[in-house]
Amino acid sequence: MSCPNLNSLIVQHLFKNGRFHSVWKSGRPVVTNRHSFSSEAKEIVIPKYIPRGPTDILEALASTVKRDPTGPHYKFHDDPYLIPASSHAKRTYALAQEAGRKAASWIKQEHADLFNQRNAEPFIEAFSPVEKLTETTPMTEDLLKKYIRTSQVANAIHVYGKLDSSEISSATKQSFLEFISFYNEEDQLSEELIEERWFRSGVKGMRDQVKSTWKSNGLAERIFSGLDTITPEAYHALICGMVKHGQAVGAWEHYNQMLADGFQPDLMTYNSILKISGIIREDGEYIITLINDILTSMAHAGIKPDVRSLNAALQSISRMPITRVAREKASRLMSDFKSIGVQPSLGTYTSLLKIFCRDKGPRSNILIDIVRRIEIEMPPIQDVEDVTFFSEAMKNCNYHLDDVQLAKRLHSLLSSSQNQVFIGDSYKESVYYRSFLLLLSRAEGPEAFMEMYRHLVPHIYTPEQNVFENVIKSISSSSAIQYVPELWSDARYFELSERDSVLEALLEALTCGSGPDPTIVVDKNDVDPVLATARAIMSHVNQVIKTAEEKDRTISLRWTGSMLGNLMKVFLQYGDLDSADEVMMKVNQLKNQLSSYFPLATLNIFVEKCIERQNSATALMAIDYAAEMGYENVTTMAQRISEQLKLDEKQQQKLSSILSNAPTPSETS
Amino acid sequence: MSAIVNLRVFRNFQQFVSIRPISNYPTSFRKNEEIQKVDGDDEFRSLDLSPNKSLNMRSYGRKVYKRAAVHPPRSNKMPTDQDWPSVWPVARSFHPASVPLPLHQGWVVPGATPPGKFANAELMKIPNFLHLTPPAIERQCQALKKFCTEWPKELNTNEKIENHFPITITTSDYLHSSPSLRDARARIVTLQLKLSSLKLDSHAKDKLLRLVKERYNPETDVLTIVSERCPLRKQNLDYAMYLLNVLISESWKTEPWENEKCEADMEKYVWEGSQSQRTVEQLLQRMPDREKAMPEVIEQYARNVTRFHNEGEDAEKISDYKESVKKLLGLQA
Repeated sequence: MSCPNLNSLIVQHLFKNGRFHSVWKSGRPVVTNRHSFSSEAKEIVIPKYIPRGPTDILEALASTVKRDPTGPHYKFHDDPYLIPASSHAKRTYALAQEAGRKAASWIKQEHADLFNQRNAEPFIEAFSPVEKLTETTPMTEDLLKKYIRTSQVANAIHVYGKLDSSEISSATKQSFLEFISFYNEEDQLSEELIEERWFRSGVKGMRDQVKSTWKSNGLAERIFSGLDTITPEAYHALICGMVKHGQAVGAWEHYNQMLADGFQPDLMTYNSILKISGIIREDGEYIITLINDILTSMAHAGIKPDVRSLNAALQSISRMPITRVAREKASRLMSDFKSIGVQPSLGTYTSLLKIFCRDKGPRSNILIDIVRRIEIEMPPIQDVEDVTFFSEAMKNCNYHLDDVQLAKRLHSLLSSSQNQVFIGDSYKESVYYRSFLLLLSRAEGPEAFMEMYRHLVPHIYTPEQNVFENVIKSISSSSAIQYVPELWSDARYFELSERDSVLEALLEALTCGSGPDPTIVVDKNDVDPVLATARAIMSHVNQVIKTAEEKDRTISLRWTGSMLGNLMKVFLQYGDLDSADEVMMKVNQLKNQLSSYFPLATLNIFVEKCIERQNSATALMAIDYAAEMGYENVTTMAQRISEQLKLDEKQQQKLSSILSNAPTPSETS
Repeated sequence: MSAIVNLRVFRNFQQFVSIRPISNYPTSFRKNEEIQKVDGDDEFRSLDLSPNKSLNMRSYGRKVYKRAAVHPPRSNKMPTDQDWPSVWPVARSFHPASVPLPLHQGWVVPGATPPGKFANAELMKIPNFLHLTPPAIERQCQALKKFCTEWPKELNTNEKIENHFPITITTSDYLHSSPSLRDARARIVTLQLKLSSLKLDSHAKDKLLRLVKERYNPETDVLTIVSERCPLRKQNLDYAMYLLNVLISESWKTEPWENEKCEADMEKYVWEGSQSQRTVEQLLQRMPDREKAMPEVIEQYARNVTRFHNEGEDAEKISDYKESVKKLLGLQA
C-alpha cells in the first residue's frame, strides 16, 4: 500500500471507531484494497446504526425491573424505621421530605446574594434565585412579558398595575388577559412540589360539583371592559377562564354578547360552553337543544370538534336527571363523533359510565365493552378528565357490576408501566384501591385474596378502618384463621389497633378456628400464633387503657364483654388457662362497666375447666359475675361448684352471699 | 418467648405477631421500659440537682408524640421465589433489612462467630455486587440487545480487522456529578497504527522514524499520535489525521540534499558502496586466479566488517575478521 491509499484508509477508520454517525448511518459497503489483501474479494457490509433517543437505554434497563411488593415507594427510604405503613404516616413522611426541599428553596430565595456562583455549565435558570421585585426595579413591558412567560401571577399583576395601560401593546395586553383568566389572578402551587399537589388535589377531588372560584369584577373583567377595541380573542380568554373557574353564568352572558357583536368563537370557547351547558340549562330537553345548537354552529363555522368537545358534551349530559334521554343522546353523540373520526379518550368513558350506570338505575354492562376496547388500544392522555376513569371504573366494578374478573382485568391494565399516570391523585388512588379490595374480599377465596392483599398492602394502599374491618370479616367468615395474626400485625402498623370495632372483628375472627394445630407447633417452647395473637391483643389493650388513665387522656377504647368473651374462648380452646384466669379477673374487676355481656356459654366452659383444675377462686369470680348480671343458671352453677370443689370457710360464705343476693329465675322472668 | 423462637414460628406467616423486633434491633420501647424499671427499683428518692432535660420538658406538659410501631425487617416477608433484581436493582450500600441472607462479617477472637448483619458497619463499608447477579446481567443484556447491530461476518479474524482497519482512535468521555457537564479531558484524541501496515520502504521508514521520534514503539511497531491542542474533540481528531497525512507524504519525499549524504553521515556502516567494497573489488581485479572461489568469502568478509563497525570491537570479532582477511588474501597460517 502506498501513500495515496491513505485517505481511503482513514475513511475506513472513521467507520471502525463509529464516532461519526453520519458516516455510519450511510451503511455504505467498504471496498477493500484488492492489491493489499488480494485473497479478500468480498465486500465488508457494516450494519446501519440503530437510532435511539437519549433515554432509550435507561428505559430499556428500567423495563427489566418489576415492582417489589415488599419494598416501599421509591420516594421513601428503604429502612424499617423510615417506611410508613399508615396513610397518615405516608402523608407526613412525604410532605416532610418536601418541606425540606421547600425550606432549601426558601433559603435560596431569601439569601439570594449567597448564591452568586455561576459555575454550572450549561447554566440552569431554574436553579438560580428568582430576581426580586423591588421599588427600584424599572417597570417595563418586557418585565411583564417575562413574568407572564415564567407564570408569576402576583408579580405580573403588580407590574401591570404600575404600568400605564395605554402604553402596553395590544398583543401583550391580550396575553396578560389570557394569563390572569387562566390562573384566576392567583399564584399556583409550584410544579416542583409534587407531593403537595398529590395530596392537595385529593381534597379538591371530593367535590363533584364545580365551585365558583372566579373573581367577579376582578382584574380580568376590568381589563376586558377597558379594552379600546374588543377582539374575539379577548372574549375567548375571558369565557374560557370563567368556565375553568366555575363562573358558568358569566361565561354564558359573555358568550351571548360575543355572538351579538358578530364574533366567531373558536374551538376552545365552544368546548367551554359545551362543558357548562349542563349547568346553565336545568332541564334535559333544553340541555340537548343547546348542545345540538352549539355543534350545528360549529359545523357551520367549519370548526371540527375534537375529543374534548365530546367529553365536555358528555359531561353536560351526565348531569341530566332522566336516564333514558341521557343514554339516547350519549349514544347518538358517540356514533356522530365516531363518524367524523374522533377517537374517544378515557375521559369520554368516565362520562359514559356516569350516564349509563346510575346508582338507582338499571344495571348496565357498558364497562365490559369499554375494558375490551382499551385492552386492544389504550388511548393516550388527552383531557383532564382522563385520570378519573380508573377510580370511576373500579367503583363501578365494585358497587354496580360486582364483577371480580373485570376488576382484575382493569387492574392489570393500570399495572402496566405506561398506564401509571392514569391513577390521578391520592384521593382517586385510594378510591380505586378501596373499591378493588372490597370487591376482592367479597368475591375471592382467602388464599387468592391474601396474595393480592400482600401485593397491594401496605406499600401501594393502606386500608381505611371500614375496609380493614371488611377484610377481617371476610377472612373470619371463611375460617382462614392462619391469616389473622398477620392482620393483627397490620392493624398495629396501620395505627388501627386502638379502634374498638377493629379489635372486636379481630377477636371474633380468632375464635373461628378449630383449636391448636399440631403441625405448626412442634416444639414445646413454640407458641401457636393464634394464641400468641390473643395474648398480644390482650396486653396491648391493657397497655393502651393503662397509659390513657395515667396520662388522664380520654380514649374510645374499652374492654367489652364480647371482646373478653372471645379472648376467653381462644384461651380455653388453646388450653392457656392462666391467661383465661387473667381474663376472668378482668371481667370480675370491670363487671358493670362492660358495655356488652360476657357470653354465658363461654362462662359455663370456664367454670367446667375450673372444676377440673380445682381452682375455686376464679370459679367464684365467674359465679360472682353471673350473679351480678342476673344470668338464669347461676344457682345450678353455684351448686355444681359447692359440690365438686373444695371450698374453704371464707369461700363458702362468699358463695352463699352471692346466691342470696342473686335473683331467682322466677324473679327475673 | 425469645426472639429466635419468635422467628422460627412466624416464618410460616412471614410476619411477626409481637411487635418486639429481633434482638439486635434496638427500639425506643425497650429503652423506656428500662428507665421505668430503674425508677421503680429506687428505694430512696434522690435529689436531682441538674434535672434531666427531657423529663423536665415532659413535666411541663410538652406533647409527647406517640411513635409508630416499627416494622420487622422486610426480609422476613420476602417470599423465596421473589424477583431479586427488582428488589435490588442498582448499586447501593448494604442494608440488613432488605437482604434476606444470614450474613456475618467482621473480625473476632478466633473461635467466636463474626457479628451478624444488623448494625454491622463492616458490611456497609465493602462494595457489594448484589445488583449484579447473573440473572440481572442476563436480563439487562437481553434488554440492550435491540440497540446492537451484528458484527460484520467478513471480519471474523484479528488479522482481517487489522488489515482493513489499521487505525485505532481512542477518546474518553467523563461523567461525574458536578454543576458542569463539561470536562476538558474529553477533547484528547489518541491515534494509533502499526507501522507495518503503511508498507514503507527503508528510506521512507527511516525518515518517518526520525520525524516521529519517541512516538514510535519499536517493540510493538506501533506509532502513537496524541492530539490535545485544540479545544474540541472533532478538531483534535482532524488534526491527528492531518499529522498522519503530512508525516507519510513527507517521508516518501526525497529532497535534493539527501543525495549529499556521504559515508561519514551514515548512522551505521553499510557494506554496499563503502570504501572497503571498492578496495576488495580492486584487489580482486589484480588476482584473477582467485576470482572463482570468491563470492562466499567476500560475503563473509563483508558481514564481519559490518559487524565489526556496527557492533563494536572485541576479541571474537577481531579473530573473525582476521580469518576472513586470511581467506580473502589466500594466506595460509
